[in-house]
Amino acid sequence: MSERRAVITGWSVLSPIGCTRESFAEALLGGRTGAAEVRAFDASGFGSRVAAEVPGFSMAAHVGAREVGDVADRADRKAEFGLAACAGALDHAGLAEAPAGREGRWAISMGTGLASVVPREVERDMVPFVLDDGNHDLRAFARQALDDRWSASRHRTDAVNEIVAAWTGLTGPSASHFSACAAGAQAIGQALRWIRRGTADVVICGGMDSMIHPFGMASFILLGALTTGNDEPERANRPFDRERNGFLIGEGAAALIIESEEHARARGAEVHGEVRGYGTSVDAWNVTAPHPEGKGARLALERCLADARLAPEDVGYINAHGTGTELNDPIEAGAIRAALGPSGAGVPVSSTKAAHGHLIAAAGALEACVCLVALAEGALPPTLNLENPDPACDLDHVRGAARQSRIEVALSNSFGFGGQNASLAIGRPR
Amino acid sequence: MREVWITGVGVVSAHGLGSHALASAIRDGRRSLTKLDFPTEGFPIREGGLADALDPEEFVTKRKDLKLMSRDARLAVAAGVLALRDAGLEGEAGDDLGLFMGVGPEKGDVSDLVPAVAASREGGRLSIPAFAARGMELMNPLASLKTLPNMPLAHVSIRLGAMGPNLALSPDERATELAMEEAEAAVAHGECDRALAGGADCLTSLSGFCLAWRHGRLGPGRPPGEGAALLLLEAAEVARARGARPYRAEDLPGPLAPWIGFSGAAHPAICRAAELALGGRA
Repeated sequence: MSERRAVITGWSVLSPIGCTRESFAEALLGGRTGAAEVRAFDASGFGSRVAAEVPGFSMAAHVGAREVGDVADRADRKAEFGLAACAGALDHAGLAEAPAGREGRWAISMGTGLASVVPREVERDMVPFVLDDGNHDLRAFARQALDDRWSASRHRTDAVNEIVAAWTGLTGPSASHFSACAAGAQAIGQALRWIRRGTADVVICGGMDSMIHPFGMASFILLGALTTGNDEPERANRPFDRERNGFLIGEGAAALIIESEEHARARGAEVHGEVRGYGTSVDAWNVTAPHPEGKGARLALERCLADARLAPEDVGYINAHGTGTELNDPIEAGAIRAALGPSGAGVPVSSTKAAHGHLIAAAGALEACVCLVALAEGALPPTLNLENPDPACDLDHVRGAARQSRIEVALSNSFGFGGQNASLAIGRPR
Repeated sequence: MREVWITGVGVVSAHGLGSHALASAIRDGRRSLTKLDFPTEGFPIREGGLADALDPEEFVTKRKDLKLMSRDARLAVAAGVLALRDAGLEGEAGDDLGLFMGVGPEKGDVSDLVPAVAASREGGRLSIPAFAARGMELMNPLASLKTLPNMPLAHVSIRLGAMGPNLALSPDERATELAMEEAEAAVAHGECDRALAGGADCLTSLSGFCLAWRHGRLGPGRPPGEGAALLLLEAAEVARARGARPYRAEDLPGPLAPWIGFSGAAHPAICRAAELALGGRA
């Protein structure tokens, strides 16, 4: 029996460089960045004051007439991005709800991140209970936490899954992936597995995140992970460059509709691409630092190629994890060279994080959409600000401007805190 | 598709460590609930199932690793070690060992933020400039690494050298049920020969309890609990070749929650571990 193919029939992004497919593609290939001084709050005293924010976002403008009910009590900013992206992807695919009797054949698989905390939540939930001696009135806090005024209940990781299930009537599997920066890619990989195994005919998948709030940025600053290029925000993040100094925090969401090929053909859907393969691994090394030999990253890439039954020379482009941190970039470059071998040495590589920022749990989903743009437009987006490539990151970098190239397959890498790694192979429709 | 066996059970709960302790407590009809160890005046529930028998130091290679580990992660690591030990594969599971876990929701420890918030108050309000100037440096820099829900999986992988296919699904028992199904599918479809599957969660901490209560997960007959269970799933042909025997399941005499507490994302895995512990090896 031939394997069921997983085709992409809809996609949508909410990104710092565009909230429509067209504007996203144009910014990506035009070399524009969403990096700017933080606007979400007064970050003037922060060591890193640069971020890529989604400007002027309003969920209502994206979800249309869909019922969101008490969404403000159930969804934070990242969840609102996720809902908007899912609505956009369903619209793009021409799908609204699961047909009667087929509800169990629709599934959802979303990557998500930590709570998108707004300062007033901390002010309400914590400030009244901090005593003058610096201790915490635990009893008073607990009494409030048990009533309906505790904000933590607004940050459920599966809120988007539940609301989208209500929109579409889906009753198939629902997965909420929590694997840090690998979550969005793992969510898409899971969709591929479900389609191939016949678990589902339609899977809504993707990722969402927003950590551009004082406590989110502070947690990354304390780990020394964020770029400190505050004086020139648009040039702050420099993946694979000798002068790289940390990642650019981004926010947003991306969603894809993945269907079995026969389901898509039967309803006459337009096919925009195919998820050809998926590989995943764990570093089993350290909760923040990558394996020093890039073993986990290499395994994810090798497993992805094997899963997709692709040879290294079949790969036309790699969208790298490429955070612009001291540790990630050379280790990822080494993993790419090791996984693809001599025949893969000339594969063009770029990291697009200097354009849209690092979307954390949404990164893998957004960057799968970058691959769709590259496939559709016949152009590979550049790594911005890559002026002096680090010799330790020796790859065929796409830099300066987009490179015209008609490709058949692109790979996308995502590596997360905790050591979880995921690689996806996204192909042109066959 | 390959046949899949369960050849190892690792479980930590209020009934103790390991499958034998769990099975004998169930057979004895023991109730392992004790007073919760945070202030519970005015709370609707004051008892829970604490995994008091766990000494996390016994299960880590370096004591300093514990600094980075939440309670959920400590429970998970112990369950992972016990599962491989039970299967006779401690240190020999291979680096393609898969890891499929249901994990609880984000449960920040409020005490990690209190000093920072205290230093950031101005006129009874939270001042972001004051947070930047004085509060941020008082935050525990490791707090976010303990808070990330996928960290139990990360610590299990580090402890056991597991580099295979993986999933960390959140936030409750449905996630764990799905993770266990996916592990079985991964082994059956040949993505890996062996995988650990299960969950870890702690509802007996203040934040874990409050979150679970707010979401209607607790109530009469369902006090909070904590624990972890990881089952070693193995391709039957691989297990047979090394002379391993599979577990068989036996029905539980009734719900476990009234006896050991309801442990959120860990609960379905603990219940499955209990069924296998009662059934023993074929």
